[in-house]
Amino acid sequence: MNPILKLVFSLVFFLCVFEGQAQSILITGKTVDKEGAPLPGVSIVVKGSSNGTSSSFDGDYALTVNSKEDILQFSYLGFDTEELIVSNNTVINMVLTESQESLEEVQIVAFQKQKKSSVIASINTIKPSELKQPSSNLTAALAGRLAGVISYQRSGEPGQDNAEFFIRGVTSFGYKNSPLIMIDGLEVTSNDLARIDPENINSFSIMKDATATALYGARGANGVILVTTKEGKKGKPKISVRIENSFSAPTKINQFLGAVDYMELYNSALRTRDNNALLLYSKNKIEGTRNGLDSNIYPNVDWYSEMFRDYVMNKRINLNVSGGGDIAQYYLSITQSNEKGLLEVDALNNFNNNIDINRSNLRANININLSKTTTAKVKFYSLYERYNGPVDDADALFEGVVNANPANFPKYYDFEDADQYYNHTLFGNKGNGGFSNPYADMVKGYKDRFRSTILSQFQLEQDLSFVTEGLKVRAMASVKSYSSNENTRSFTPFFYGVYESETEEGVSNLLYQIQEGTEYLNNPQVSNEANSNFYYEFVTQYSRTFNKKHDVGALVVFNRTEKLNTIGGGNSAYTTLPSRNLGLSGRFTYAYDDRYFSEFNFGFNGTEKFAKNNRFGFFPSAGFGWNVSNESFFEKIKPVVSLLRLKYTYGIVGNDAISGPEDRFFYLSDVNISDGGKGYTFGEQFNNYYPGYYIGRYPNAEVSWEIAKKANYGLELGLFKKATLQVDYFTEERSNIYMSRDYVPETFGSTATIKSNVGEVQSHGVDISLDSNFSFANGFWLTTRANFTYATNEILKNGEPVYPYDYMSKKGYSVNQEWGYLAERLFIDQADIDASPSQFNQGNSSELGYLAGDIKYTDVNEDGKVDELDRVPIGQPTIPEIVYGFGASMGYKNFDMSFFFQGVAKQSFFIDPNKIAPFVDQGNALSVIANNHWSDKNPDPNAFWPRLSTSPVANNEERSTWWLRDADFLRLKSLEIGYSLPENLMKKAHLQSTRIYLSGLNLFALSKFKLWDPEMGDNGLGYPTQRVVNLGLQIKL
Amino acid sequence: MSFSKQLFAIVLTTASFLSSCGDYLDIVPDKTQEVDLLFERKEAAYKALATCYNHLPTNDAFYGSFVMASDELAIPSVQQTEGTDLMKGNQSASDPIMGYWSGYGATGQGQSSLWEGIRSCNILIDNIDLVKDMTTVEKEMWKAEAQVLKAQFHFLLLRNYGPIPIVDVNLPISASEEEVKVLRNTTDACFDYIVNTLNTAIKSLPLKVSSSNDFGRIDQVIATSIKSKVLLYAASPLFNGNSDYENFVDAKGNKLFNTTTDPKKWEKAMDASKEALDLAIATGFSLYTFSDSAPEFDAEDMQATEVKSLYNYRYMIAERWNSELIWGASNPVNSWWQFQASLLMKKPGSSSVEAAWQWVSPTLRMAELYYTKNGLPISEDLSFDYNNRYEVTTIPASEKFHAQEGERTAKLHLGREPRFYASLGFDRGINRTWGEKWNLKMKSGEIHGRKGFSNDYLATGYSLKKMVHPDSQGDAYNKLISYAWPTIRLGELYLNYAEAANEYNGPSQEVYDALNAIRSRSGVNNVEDAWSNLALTRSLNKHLDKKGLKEIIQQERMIELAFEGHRYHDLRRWKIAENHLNTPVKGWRVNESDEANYYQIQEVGQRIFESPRDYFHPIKILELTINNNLVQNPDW
Repeated sequence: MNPILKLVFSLVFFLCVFEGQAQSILITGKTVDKEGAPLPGVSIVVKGSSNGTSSSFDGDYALTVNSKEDILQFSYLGFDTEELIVSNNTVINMVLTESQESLEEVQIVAFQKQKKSSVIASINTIKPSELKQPSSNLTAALAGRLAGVISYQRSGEPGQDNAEFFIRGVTSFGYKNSPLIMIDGLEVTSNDLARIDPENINSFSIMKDATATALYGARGANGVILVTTKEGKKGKPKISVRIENSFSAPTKINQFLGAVDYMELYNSALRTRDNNALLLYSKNKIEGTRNGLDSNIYPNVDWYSEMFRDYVMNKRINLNVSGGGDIAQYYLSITQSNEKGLLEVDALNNFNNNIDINRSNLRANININLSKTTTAKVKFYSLYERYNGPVDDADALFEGVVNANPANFPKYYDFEDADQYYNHTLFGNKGNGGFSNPYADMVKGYKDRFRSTILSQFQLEQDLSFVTEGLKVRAMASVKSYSSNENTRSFTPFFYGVYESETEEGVSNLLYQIQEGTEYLNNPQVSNEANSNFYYEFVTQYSRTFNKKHDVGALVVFNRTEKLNTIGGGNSAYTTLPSRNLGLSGRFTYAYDDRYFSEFNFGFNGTEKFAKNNRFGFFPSAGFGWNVSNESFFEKIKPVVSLLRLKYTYGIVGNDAISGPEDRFFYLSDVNISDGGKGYTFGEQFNNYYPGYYIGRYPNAEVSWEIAKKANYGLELGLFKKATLQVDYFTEERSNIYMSRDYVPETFGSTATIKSNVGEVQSHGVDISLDSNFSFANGFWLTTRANFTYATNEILKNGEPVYPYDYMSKKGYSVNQEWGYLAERLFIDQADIDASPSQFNQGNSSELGYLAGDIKYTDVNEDGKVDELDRVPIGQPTIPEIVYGFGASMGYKNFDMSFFFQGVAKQSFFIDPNKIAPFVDQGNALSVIANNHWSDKNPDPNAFWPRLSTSPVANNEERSTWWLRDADFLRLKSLEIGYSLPENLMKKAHLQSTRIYLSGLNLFALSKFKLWDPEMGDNGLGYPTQRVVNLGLQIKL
Repeated sequence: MSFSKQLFAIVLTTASFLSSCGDYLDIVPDKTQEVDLLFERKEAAYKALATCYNHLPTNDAFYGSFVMASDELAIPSVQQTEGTDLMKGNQSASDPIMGYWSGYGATGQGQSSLWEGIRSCNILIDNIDLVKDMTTVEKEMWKAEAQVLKAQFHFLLLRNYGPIPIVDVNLPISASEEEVKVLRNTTDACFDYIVNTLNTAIKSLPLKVSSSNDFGRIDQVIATSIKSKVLLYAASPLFNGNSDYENFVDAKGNKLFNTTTDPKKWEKAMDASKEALDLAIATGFSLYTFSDSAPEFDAEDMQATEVKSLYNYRYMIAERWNSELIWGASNPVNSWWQFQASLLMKKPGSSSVEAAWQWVSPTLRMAELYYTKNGLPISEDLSFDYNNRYEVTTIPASEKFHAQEGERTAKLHLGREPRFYASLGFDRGINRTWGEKWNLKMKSGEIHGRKGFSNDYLATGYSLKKMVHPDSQGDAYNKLISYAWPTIRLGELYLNYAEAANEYNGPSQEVYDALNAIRSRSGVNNVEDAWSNLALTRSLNKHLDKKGLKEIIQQERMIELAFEGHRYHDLRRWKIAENHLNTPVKGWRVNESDEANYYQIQEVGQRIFESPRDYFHPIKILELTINNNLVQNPDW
């Protein structure tokens, strides 16, 4: 037991003896933590006296005080000390909040833990509980929660809804921009991160600057996410159960036209470009539909609602146990989740084409003390995922709604007597077929998949204090293996149409077959994938304080990584060979008197990708810190400014993921020496065939990693011990970015783009986080947290040619800047067209040309024609430059509540006119287009949609400001209300605590963009972002 | 202090461990694919040779073929080919259609950038000496083939773009930004380079490819024929003294076109054609005549010259490696069948017409181009009712070999020369196809006409027989019969000679003889006979006059080489493209089912040719941006 705690307990015991002598007021109450769990052993003393007590196992206490003016002081190790005046209260329930300082007393850094106060590197840590939200995807919770992370989520498709995330934004236009992710020291994929249960996380931090990441050498340039999982603690078994049940529904649904409106507008779209066009939909057809006649002949299909459900229910359950004795401690966790999609299933199919994902996740972390100085740790993790879903991915099915119109045919024909003859669904189509029936695409089969991820880790730690004080070594070996087996089974749909035929009884409608399908599922398409990761590390660590003032630390790490692509990694030599990485890293720290800190780090790192002489790189970094508040002159203002630290770091980090797995070994060429597509045949009978060759890449031994030079300026400020402000300003120069040399013309005759390390990007930005903690006498507590990340960049150098106009150059613009035309308005009339510069050489062809009501672009270079020389940078970058979030948690008695807002700013996206173009190939039409388009009756030069057309109008599909949209939004990302059942009830049930909570995700959003959820950006017709309402129960035993 | 020593020891131990692991990162096995391997052995070197040939544009790659890029053929407006797009005036400098410069995509087979082809030729030339199991003679021969291909690629670029940079040697991959920014050479320099390259190569080539395994490879006859064509272009008005390009200069201000007409260029063209013609004849080439036995349905009629001529002209294309084929494309590409399929008529009642699309059709203009049976243009023949040619009349017995006796068709379809009947199918005409003899009924709703709103129909009412093997059957792709597309055939050499000789020396018996050789093969009378017959011709003795003869030669060329991919280039070469390629193409009203309405003329497609802009293709804007030493072609 902690000696201080021991002291406190004995003191309390001692004081209790004198209880009888006290007089007047008896105060009773309960001490609990924020979640309502009772806190035993809290020390409660009357300030300035020796009168005090400590809370019982259930958190109850009773204390007699002498006067109303007495001040009660509640203190508990690891929690903020609270004080309050007794006043008229006789019952004082106190909620204690975990103190930030003590919680983060040690900070996880690369390969070790460091004393929080001595860390100079720019690292942000988040409490795992903040990552909990009703979703099976951890990455979805990152946006706005961590200062320094730029993140967004484009799709709501279960299993495919990983958010993109970047540390300090995108700082390179090379292959990989995403951070290195390490869970318990092993590199994993973003999918692995997505599947980790926040319940199991012990610490979650992001490493941002060079000092934090230099040890990862050639892999650290994009920042690092470090996650450690919980380990067991000595004590009797603690069991925790969490059950969640959530309702998930789209935040917004795209609205399409009904059949009558569709047909009328289609006809007018035909005529608006060709006066003589034959109308597609007859008056009879339109009237029949209007009057709701036979739906087989006069269909009016709302494809969206035919295909998708309104909501879906998902379940998650987690059980974890931890505890242990002197020899061994354990942490065990099981998570089971079920996630479903919104897809309908056809009545005639006995298989399920809807998404249905079952995941089981087992984690066992066991520590064994082999001797007083030796510890062995075993970590085992497995994730099994059974996926069932549609043949095409669900994103595509949602997009498919736009391919079929409401009037052509029903999803299937439903003739009364039809079932007698057919044991297949009579899918709708018309004419000779060839129209898209998205419903048939959806129900024509299913895909099942089994994925497993298994991770085993063994670690041995040896304290070498007997050699010299402060010396430790540890060795670790890890293997992760992943495999996936996927079978896709589908039948060929039978398509039918109806035609009118005149009989003696009048007109009758006959069903005819358009496409013969199969009444059985065709043989499955099988796809397998397997890969594995091996990791070994050997760490020597030293730390010691000399003369109480000189803190010295050293760390040397040797590590080795190998990744094997066993199955499914393609079939070229380059993709199937293993990837390897070898590193020696070190850290040396020196601190004087807790006031001055210095740190030097290095990574010496090699990868298999480069030529021998370029394989190893040295990545140094250094940092300095000054803990101003520890200076003696600071004492006076410490009650107000409780903490002030200044930090500066600078260093070099690399990025060896400069190109995809198929593009490695740059010192070799990539040649297909027997390319059938490049061959030729000679001979009388055209049979003397020789294959040719194809050079896919020319060898370049000079190619090496990207280099990032990072500088960080940090400030930490504590106010009244209640609030902490962290501000980091950073700059980064990324050079050696591997990219194509675009100044090589066609006349050079190369078959491959010539690439080398030519790019340079400069970025800078600021991360700010502000946290605060308050508790009040009446038991009300409040914590707030706000984060702000701004990261911007500009290209300094790239392989681009010398453009004739400055605005064509990418230099000086963000990596994610888009170029396009300036759309002025829609053409007013033919005279307007004639008076304007010709556009894309299309003016002289009426078949593909443009008319009044089509988009007029600016001839930027004023050469009398609009062509690609007129493309200028438009809009903001397509990845947000600002991501922020703010929220608060609060509680009173048994109730607690928290909310979190999240937003992005300085981001643009483009509506893809090609995707939503109505009537093309008789496709669907969004209502917004029907309501707001240019027409002879409504010649609005700023209408949302240009002149209608039934075929693509190339002029209007160019990337331009016409389709540019502001993607900024602010949303109520999460809201949670909880109630902890009264403790006396719990006592009876032998439970420690029970909490019921109701939470919501994506409840509402504010945005200028109204068409679809703004976070989806250009994926607006895809699987919609989900709004989730969740009911949860947490029981602790 | 012992600490630093200990630390040092630890680092040292670890570092030594690390260095021993240096090999750990060496994971690429020794035997990987490298370009060097191509030039180890002859068998491997064939791949380098095949790659050079692979870049040759193929006329039978239907969707991307220049055969579709003229006013010869029309397609329904819902169908699309690169060539038709070009003709509709959709060319753009942002994304050029059918650009040999940057390459282009097309269904089935795209076309790579010809600069890549040139690079692959240079790779072969630079490395073939490394091959161990080849004789010097063989190596020189292969080099010469690569030289000819390199010259041909330069020529094809020159033909479409005018002055181009000459790439005689490959620039190294490490070449600097300045080095790669090449300039355009003058047209004269380009022609000189091409001709010199050909002359050098010819010496090392075999006279004539003899092994049947090597058919399609380049020999002296082919190289000499290419030279004849190159010099014909050099002498033609587009390149010879073209004043439209007076002010066309490169980035440094040098004039790219020689605007002074030089008659000597025609002499060179004439000599080269003569050389090629003589060499071809000396090595056994002759104008093709059909000598097999005719199918049963024609066995009796083969006595008639009319029918014999039909077979002469059709099998001249369809019979593999016939005596006239100088350079045949021995590499029917993956999609060679697309051309035949698109032309092939659907067989009524056949269970499958998979390979018979029936949606490419010759234009009315082509139907009017062919001579009358008297070897005269329809407007010149006094016996032909030119003014009433669209009127319908009953087919007399005398036309029984070409049309259905007693049925009714337009006068235009009667009394024409055999090449007309060998090439075009029309309503109430006869088509030998699917190995059968069909009586065509082409009006809407009739067995060969448009069905309902099907998109597979002949937009003009004509079907093209010439480029379809008569025995090709359209029920499956593998039942189409391939032939080597004639890149160069003897007939062309006669026409080259006739044209150059007339331009240089004026009318002569040699010119008439050259034309007559071609005419007589197809049963057309001699030029002199046709044009000096007072009773037949309006413009008497037109052939005696140089300008008149020039027109006769041009029409002869357009007829003889129709649908073989020459017209688009010839019209530009003669600088008369805007007269032909800038007016809509027409056909019969194929959606009509009754005679009165069917035999009306309607437009079936736009043809746009903006002069002088469209005489040369635009260079992709991106390319000009990348290399600002290049200049765009005028008006683009």
